[in-house]
Amino acid sequence: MSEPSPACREFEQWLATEAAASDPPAGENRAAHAERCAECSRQWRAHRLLVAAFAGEVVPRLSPGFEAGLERKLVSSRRAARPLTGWRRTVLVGYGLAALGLLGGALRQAPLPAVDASAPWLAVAALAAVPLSLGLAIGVSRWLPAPRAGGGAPLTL
Amino acid sequence: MDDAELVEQFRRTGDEAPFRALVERHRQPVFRLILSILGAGREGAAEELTQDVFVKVFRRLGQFRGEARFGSWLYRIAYNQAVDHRSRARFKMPHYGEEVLAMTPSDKPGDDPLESAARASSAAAVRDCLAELPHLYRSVLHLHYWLGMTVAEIGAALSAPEGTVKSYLYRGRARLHRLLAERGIVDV
Repeated sequence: MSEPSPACREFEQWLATEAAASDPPAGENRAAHAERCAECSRQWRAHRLLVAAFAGEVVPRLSPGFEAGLERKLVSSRRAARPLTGWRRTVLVGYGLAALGLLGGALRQAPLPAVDASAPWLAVAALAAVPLSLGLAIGVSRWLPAPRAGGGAPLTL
Repeated sequence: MDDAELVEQFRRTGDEAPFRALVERHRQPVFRLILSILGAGREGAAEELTQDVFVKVFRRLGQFRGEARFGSWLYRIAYNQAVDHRSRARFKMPHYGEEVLAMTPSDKPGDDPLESAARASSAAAVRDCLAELPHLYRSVLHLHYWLGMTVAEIGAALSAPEGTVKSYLYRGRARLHRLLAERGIVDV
């Protein structure tokens, strides 16, 4: 690709900063250059079509509901991302320890029953119940009040 | 107070006020940048994405170390979010049939209806071709010709020097011309 001439550079600079949709290009030198130079002529035609395509278009702006929408999203984001700290963590750890203690006690009292061959899904359901209930506890703990005062207050934008 | 001071204040105190000030300062440029990638007729989606960008920024601001300028970081997030959205969503540009274009009312009294229809048809072709350009060129051309941003403003939004923006404009126009020539809208 050949180096653009100073006239091409000047034309490009003018297109990027000052050019309007006037026809022919303002300035005798520019008009003559656009006639002679195929690449600048293409640039000029594309420029004019772009100006014409968006002429009279209103520049879009954010709607008045933007702030309320953002506030809603921020509140739900805060809730989802709230770390498990303070007494909410204590409750969760306590729940886990109590569950383990109960499980250990139950196993010591009674041996595991044999899996009923006629309904093997019962054993699978029993195994799945433990992680599911723990997950439920974590999920619920997200909705508990925050430990820090004001930490869960909604943003007002 | 500049962006860096607001960020620092937010990180130090966790106070909402500096974040609110950052949103107020940058929301319109972020919206325009996103819109420049999505294109005309996508204002609703662009607004939703602008909100998502600020939610993301709110979550990550505590980790922002200030190696780059806040504006560059923010606009990079916005740009990537818009590009992701555009590649994920089934993007269908509104189609205007010939009969609709022929009905387009003239904006000046006494205008030739045929000329007016031809102008509308050419404008629609330009928009269609813009939608086919690579994200960066489409964004720069939209920002300049549609959203009326200067080269310096685009440079700030894209964290690019002015010379680079001019080069993007140049290459964008060249590609657009090629696409328009393929459709017979302009001579080769």
